[in-house]
Amino acid sequence: MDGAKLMPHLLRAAALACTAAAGGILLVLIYLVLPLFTSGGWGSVIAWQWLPFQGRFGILPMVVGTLLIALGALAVATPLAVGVACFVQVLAPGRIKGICLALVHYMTSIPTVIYGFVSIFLLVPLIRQWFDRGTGFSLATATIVLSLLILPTIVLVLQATLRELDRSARVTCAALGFSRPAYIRHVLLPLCRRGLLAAVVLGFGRAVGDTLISLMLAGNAPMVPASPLDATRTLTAHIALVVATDSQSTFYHSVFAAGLILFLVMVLIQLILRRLGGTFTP
Amino acid sequence: MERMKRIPEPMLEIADLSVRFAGKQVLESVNLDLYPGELVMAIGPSGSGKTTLLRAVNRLNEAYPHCNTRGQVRIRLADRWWDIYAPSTPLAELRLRVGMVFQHPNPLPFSIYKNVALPLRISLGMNPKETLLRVQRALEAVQLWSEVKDRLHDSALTLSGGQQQRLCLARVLALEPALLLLDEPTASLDFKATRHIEALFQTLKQRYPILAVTHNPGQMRRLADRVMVLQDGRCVAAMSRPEIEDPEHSRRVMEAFF
Repeated sequence: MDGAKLMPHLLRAAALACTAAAGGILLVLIYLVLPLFTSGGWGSVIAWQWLPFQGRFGILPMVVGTLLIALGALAVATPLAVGVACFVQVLAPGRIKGICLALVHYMTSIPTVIYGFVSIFLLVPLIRQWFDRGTGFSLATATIVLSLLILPTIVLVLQATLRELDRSARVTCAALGFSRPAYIRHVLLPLCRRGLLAAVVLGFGRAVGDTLISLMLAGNAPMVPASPLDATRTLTAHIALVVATDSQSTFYHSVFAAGLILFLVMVLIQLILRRLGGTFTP
Repeated sequence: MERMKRIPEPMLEIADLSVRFAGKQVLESVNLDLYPGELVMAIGPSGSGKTTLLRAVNRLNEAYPHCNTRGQVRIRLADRWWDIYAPSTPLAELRLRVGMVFQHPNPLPFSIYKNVALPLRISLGMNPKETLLRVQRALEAVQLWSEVKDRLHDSALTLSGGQQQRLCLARVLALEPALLLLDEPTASLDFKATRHIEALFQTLKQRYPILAVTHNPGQMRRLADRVMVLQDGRCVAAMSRPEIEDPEHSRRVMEAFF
């Protein structure tokens, strides 16, 4: 009886703690960014040039870099993940299904630094050779590797949804003479929209938040890339670079602005995706 | 008269059918012929292999792991015999011709209309105009049309259990099957919905041969033209219509095996 009484309080406390942590992060960020507002430095942060020694601290190129890499990775990983999840759930024979799932689980446990490291020796030279342009450290390189990083997240979340749908619809649809591809296309995929959306939101979160892959592979030039083979820099990599090299300058504060923007971009994208999901509801 | 009815060839022939799941014998040497215009019922306690018998006819047992089927199941479609288990028999097409209604209503979480229309569009490749006509006819056949015609695009899950089951029956009838398999189709329905559906089956059996299973002796007496009693996967007794109607005889059979 006591346990049953205690449980709601414990759960409420846990929920409050999580909300308070997220709110606390936002407040601290705003507090740290505040000097930029008061000293009028905000204008120099929301700008297109990062030339710290000339007093230009624009971080907009990094915002663009972050969005390009994260959305690019999502664009590559989502169709792949849908294919993998449908194959694993519907088409693969038992043994192959097990192997595929084990592989996907294994992928989630690979540290990002390993992806970055292997890519420097494998993918970067290939990109350099194939396209014969630049150093190979580029938007494209980082996007490809980042899509590998977020692939298992999307696959696992989507497959959990598919598994539930499949359990209730498979035999019904088989009895109605649906071929398995028709079943995937006309029944499973239309019904898994919400699960797919949740998977994509999570994948996007990982993609925006990842630091090491873009730091190691994107080339880190603080500019808006003109082509996929140009170098670029993400907000996360930018924060890491600045914090590692400079903690004296007054415009060290621009790093906090980067953090705040990162935070707001995430919230915004989540809201947009949720709104999209809402309009899809049958 | 009984004899005259039996002269046409059967629609379905089950010969020496045995099914195992992961080595466990579920059906053993079952034989059955199903003739046009009749409703044959398999009756037996839970676990006697009734559902497996039905699912052997549309090869739905194969949707479950470690299934091993032996024996022969043949179906007559357009005056040609098809061996259901022959590798050359197209499985999806076979399942279209053998309509199945499940124990629990299983509408897909789409609209009422789409539940009936989707198989028509996907499996038969019908155009939207034909589809609409066929959906209406099927819903009329199960006496659901007047209840849902103004809300065809509502979710099928908003229907009551009895309506859902009639929708599932309409979905099957729309495909114009050659025979029907009914797997305890009223097991999850209340008294009124059950009587409604049973009355439908009485009319439907004029058009489709029906193989049904039940564990309800009352339903058996109301509907069956012939009965096979299953116990532990074997056919242990059979009854004709006069025997079913003879309360003394059917009571003896039921008491012996239930």
